[in-house]
Amino acid sequence: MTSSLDQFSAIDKLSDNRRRMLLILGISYLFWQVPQLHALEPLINSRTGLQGLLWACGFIPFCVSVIWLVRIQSQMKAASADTQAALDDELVKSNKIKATNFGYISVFLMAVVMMIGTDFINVSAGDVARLCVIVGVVVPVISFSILERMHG
Amino acid sequence: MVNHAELHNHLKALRKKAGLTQAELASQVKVSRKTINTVENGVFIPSTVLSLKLAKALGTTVETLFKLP
Repeated sequence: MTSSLDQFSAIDKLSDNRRRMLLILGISYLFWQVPQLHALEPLINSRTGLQGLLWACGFIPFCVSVIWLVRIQSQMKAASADTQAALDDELVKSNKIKATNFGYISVFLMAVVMMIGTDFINVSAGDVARLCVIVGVVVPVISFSILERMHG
Repeated sequence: MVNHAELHNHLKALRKKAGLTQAELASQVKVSRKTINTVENGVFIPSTVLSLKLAKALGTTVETLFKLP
């Protein structure tokens, strides 16, 4: 039988791994998606190879982090009921709610900025939609990771 | 973010008095060590259920554990 200290170092390890993987997922998603914005075409020209490089720098870590998160999730499901409860306790739930709220507010602000911005700069509807999706994914994921780190 | 100004707690003192580590107390009330740490530091205010569990684990009352400033 494992002692409570062993059990909790395992919980801390799983929790830290989840936090790190979410941070990598958020940043890599940013690297993967931002170079695909049409508005950045003059800066990141596909002929220079920079776009492809940035895409690879984002897409590969994104896939790796998703695989790791699935692995962590399966480890969590295989853990005891007490461990599962500790990994999704009320602090984690509170952080999830805060992160979701940050994401919601960020998407809302992005939509407002884009509504005003498109009167002055030429941005395609596809870019606006992509930006809103990027913000909607990245902000909650990264803010949850930061909140988990702050409360470590 | 919740701070000390909204709620004072004696969790750390009572936990030490009971001879428990954060991890041991967390194990008893089925939360993570981080949660105990944030409650002790006044960063996170626990729910009524968790407060009651903490009080029970430490052999005290919620009123002894938490106080309004």
